[in-house]
Amino acid sequence: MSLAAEVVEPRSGERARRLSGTARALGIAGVALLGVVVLAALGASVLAQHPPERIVAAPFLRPSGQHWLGTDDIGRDLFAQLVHGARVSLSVGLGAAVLALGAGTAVALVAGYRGGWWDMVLMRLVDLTLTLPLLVLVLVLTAFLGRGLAVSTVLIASVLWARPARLLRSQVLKVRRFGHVVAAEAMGASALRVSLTHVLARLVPLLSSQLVRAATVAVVVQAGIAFLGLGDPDRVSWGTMLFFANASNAVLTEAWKWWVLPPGLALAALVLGLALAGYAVEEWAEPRLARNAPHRSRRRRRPVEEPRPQAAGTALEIRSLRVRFGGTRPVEAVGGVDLTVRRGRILGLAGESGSGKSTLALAVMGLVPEAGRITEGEIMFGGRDLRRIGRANQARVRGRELALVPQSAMNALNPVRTVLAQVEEAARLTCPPAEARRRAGDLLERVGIDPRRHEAFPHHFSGGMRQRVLIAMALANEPRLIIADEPVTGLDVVNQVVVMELLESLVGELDLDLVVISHELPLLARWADDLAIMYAGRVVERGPVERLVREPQHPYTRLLFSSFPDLEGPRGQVGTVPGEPPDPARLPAGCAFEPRCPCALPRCATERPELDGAEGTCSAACWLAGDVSVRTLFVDPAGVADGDPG
Amino acid sequence: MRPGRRRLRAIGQYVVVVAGAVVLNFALPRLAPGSPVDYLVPPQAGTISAEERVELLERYGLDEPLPQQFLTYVGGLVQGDLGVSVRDGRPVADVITERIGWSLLLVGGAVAASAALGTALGFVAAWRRGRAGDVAALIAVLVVDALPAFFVGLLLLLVFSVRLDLFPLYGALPAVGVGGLQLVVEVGRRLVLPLATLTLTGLASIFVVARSALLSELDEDYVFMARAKGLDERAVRGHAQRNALIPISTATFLGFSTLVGAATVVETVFSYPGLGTLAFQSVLSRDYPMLQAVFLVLALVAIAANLVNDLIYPRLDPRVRAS
Amino acid sequence: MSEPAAGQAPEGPLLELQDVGVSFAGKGGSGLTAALDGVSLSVARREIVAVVGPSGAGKSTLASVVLGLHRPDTGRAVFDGSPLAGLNRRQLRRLRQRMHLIFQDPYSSLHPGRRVAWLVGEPLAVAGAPRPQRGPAVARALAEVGLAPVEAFLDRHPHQLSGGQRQRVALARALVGRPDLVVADEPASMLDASLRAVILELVRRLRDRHGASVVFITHDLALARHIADRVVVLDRGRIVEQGPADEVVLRPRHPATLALLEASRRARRSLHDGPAPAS
Repeated sequence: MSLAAEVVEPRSGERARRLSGTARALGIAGVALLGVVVLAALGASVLAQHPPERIVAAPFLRPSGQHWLGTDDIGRDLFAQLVHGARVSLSVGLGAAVLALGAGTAVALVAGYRGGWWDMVLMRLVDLTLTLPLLVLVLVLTAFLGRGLAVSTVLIASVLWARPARLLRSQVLKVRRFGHVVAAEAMGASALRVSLTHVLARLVPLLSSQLVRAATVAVVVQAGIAFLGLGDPDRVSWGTMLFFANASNAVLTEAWKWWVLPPGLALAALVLGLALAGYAVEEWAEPRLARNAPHRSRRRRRPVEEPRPQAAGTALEIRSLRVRFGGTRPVEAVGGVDLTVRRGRILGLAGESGSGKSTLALAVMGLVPEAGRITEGEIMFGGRDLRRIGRANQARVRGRELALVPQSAMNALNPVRTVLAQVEEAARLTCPPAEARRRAGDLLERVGIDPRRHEAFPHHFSGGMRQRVLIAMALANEPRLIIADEPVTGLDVVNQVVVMELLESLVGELDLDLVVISHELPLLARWADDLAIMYAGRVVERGPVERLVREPQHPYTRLLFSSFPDLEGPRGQVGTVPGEPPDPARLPAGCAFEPRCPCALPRCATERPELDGAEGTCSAACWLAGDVSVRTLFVDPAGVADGDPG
Repeated sequence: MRPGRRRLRAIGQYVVVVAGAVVLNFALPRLAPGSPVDYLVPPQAGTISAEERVELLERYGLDEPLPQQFLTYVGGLVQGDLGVSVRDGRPVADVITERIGWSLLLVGGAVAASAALGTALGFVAAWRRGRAGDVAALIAVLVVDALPAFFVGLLLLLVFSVRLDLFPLYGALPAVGVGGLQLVVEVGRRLVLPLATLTLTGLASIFVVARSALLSELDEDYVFMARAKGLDERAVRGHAQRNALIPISTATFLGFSTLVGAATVVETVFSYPGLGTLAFQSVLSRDYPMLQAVFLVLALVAIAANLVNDLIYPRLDPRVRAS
Repeated sequence: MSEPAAGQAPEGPLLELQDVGVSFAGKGGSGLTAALDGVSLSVARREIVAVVGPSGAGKSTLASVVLGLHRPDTGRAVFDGSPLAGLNRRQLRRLRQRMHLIFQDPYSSLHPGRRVAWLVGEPLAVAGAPRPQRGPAVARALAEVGLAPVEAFLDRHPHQLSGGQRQRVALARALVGRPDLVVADEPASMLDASLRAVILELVRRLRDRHGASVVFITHDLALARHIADRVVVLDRGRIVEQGPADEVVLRPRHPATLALLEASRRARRSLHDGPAPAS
């Protein structure tokens, strides 16, 4: 067997950061505003007709051709002050922000990475600085230590560094557990190298958004101090303009129009520009804030003909189901699935990542995320097609007759409510409060949770116990069918047995039907009665577990089986499925498995085989199914030849 | 962390902050350019001779060794002696006591109002994520937030007092004494504009926190689970919003500190007789002892707000409760 | 008591843990909990040792101690004759350049902003190898793990690779520096079953072709049995059983191991009941 991996077309990364339309628009607007201010600052000497600090005319003049904004209370040109003021705000704003972020990052790295004594001392310093009211602190410092621009910049920075330091430190603590950081340490890289090369790189997004935010605060604080009369006496800034305006009671006269409004709006423009740009940067830094645009659902065309009635003796019947996801790379996650859950038989749905099995479960529950849509097919349950009954009725079925035990038990419970309250909440859908509470308690006991712990919060329970709480929740309204999506993934073996045995006994006791979804085939082989294997969004083989395990027909199934080594049996080699998993966005025209199949015939590339065969029999979607001679063609999947590299 | 340990650490933190403020206050006039005499002693008419300077230093205890001065200073603080105003000679503590109530009324009201409004708007924006409502609210909030607090105050003053003559221009109490309900109304009228200004100032950051907190919660698995178990949209919202309140509450209390700072400028615009205006006047008249005392008091107020937040937080988030 | 593995080289074991104990401050609040307690383990040269145990047994802590990332509170760790405790920071780092760690999560184990060429070359850069030497070594390593044609992969970023390809890059990194000891922490558990064999094969090559010793951490008994020479069973911070793989897995003696084995049998069913396909 060759170990070579296929060269796959580079996928646009799941990590690639992209901005939503809103963020992009706001960001551009912000940068534009900033550009205006920067230009004014740079071109101040050219734009202004007069120098800003010299007395050039009589005081309190109205706007005129010579003094576009009139003059102030001692005769200085207001327009000149306006454009020159931009320089003060920008230099203090950006200067203080850069200083603050530099200091903050250094502190965060030392405190977060080195930890220990350093961390304690630095964080106390951060606490102190953060608790004290910022403007008042700067005010006091300025009153005592000086009002010059340079001094101001340093003073503001000396107060501003604390918030970024704290936030960045939290991030450093998170990042230092990342694999690549630990790996670098394990390799023997020096602390300096690790923190600069690995940790700092992960800080860049947060750092950028904090930088913009710090600049905003610095500009506002500087203006505030100046407004209170503590601005640099040698340089007129927007804040100082407003100070003089207020002192001269400009608000009471007409002068507000040219004395109060322009500097205020100029400040607003700068701050707004920074804020808008900052919004875009923050979304870039925290991609979760921007979610995929919901699939614009057109009016769903109601299917015209009445569906065939649901087959007798089935709990759930899925016919020709297709689920499509939109977005930049449209993908058909489920491409025509026929599946039946026979009454009284547990169905095991197997598949690897990307096979579509979880999407299928979501589709049945009516919980396909916004970016996706069911485009075709029927979901027959309780005699009705769940697709046709409307959203409201689907919600009424959910949690009652049809229940889901989801993946990731660790986070599926609300951390701030007790487990009893959450199970009770589910039961309230069909019972009055008192009875719901009683039923919740009974269910929790049934799944093995001691009554003394019913009022505890989820974080007090281990993963296995949380999973059992979720099972109790699913049972709250006496469902007829439960879909358990990877119910034991992440649990250790002992807990796996407990949970699966619990599910099995519940099936018997309550006469309910069960679908178990898992990628662990040996698990399904043990607990399921019927098995269905999914690959690239379709079912490629199905049948009763006994026969399927003994004589798998589909090449994928056989190779997949071989990759789960036995506990007993001959030691040594583990099988594999050659090649790379398929890209769901670009499936071939013929059989999706053909590129990796060791038995592929020419027709497999162009014609897609379908599943035939009645329910309850074994059938495989393969042109070679049932062909006895094929088995001899099969390379022993348990052998992994020690091939040449590459 | 053990609950006892945690409490100890929290107390330690506060001690550090209070100590820091006190030390800073003590150090500043002694670090500033010139001699402490220039800052702490009432201005003398004309220039003072060297002997007079030495005599002043002695009189005010400024020539003693630093640790001694510090102990005297702290001793005085503990007894409530905040020094004497160099402007008019009155004990600083008296002046502050007169004014602190007004400031607390203003800031407290603004914190409550901005928290309530900011949260409501933030939630609405989060539910309408990406659509017109969200973007409009976002832009409106960003624009209002961009206007500096004192500028907003000036504008409101202009529109509502000067032009429309709806509210008085300044002060907190009417010139003529009135009693009972009438008094409340009059105080209210004078409170409206500064309160509105300060509320608008604090609104934006709460809005942003509320919006992003709710969006974060909506992404969590338990929200998916709530839907999966068949709850209706209102119940699902309830789950998410309740959890979003945790970071919002923290942001509110930490925002107290910011609003205290903003109140300093806003009070000045409206000549509202609180600690902010006092600080402003102290700066103008170089009344440093007063300024320092105001700083200390405001710092204590901010610390108290932090304390409240620390006490409330475990009630909101069971994960941090001692088990 | 640990027995030296059969057939060890005369220089002595590569790695030895002697009565190692590690404690952490407990979360709920009742003082210290022992993550490792009295652990004695020795790894010979060119040996693959699997460490198995349920979650929380202390496997990751063990890995940290082996790599010198965590100082044990009691006992000592000795690598190639040098006790780790006696080394200063720089000496420790130099020693770690002879070790390598392969991580469980293929998604966070590679620096997202760097290209494959840089990533695979990092161990060499840390060890101070001159730049011209790195290129050919990187290319050889990539070819050996099956990422071919090599040129196509050198310039890729991690987000342009699939999970399986990322683990191969991680293994290429493990090969390139010719470490003496490799610690693999559940390297295949986050991958689909069909990809695991490749990882296992490459881990085996680390020993067969490059002479490294491997400490392979896993919770999967069957996997441990197939890859390892010796198996060590960890339960609540203690080694409860160790010995040749088949012995420990199929004929365990300690109750904890028995419980593990029993659970594995009950949770699963063999997929190889039927007649083996003829080759």
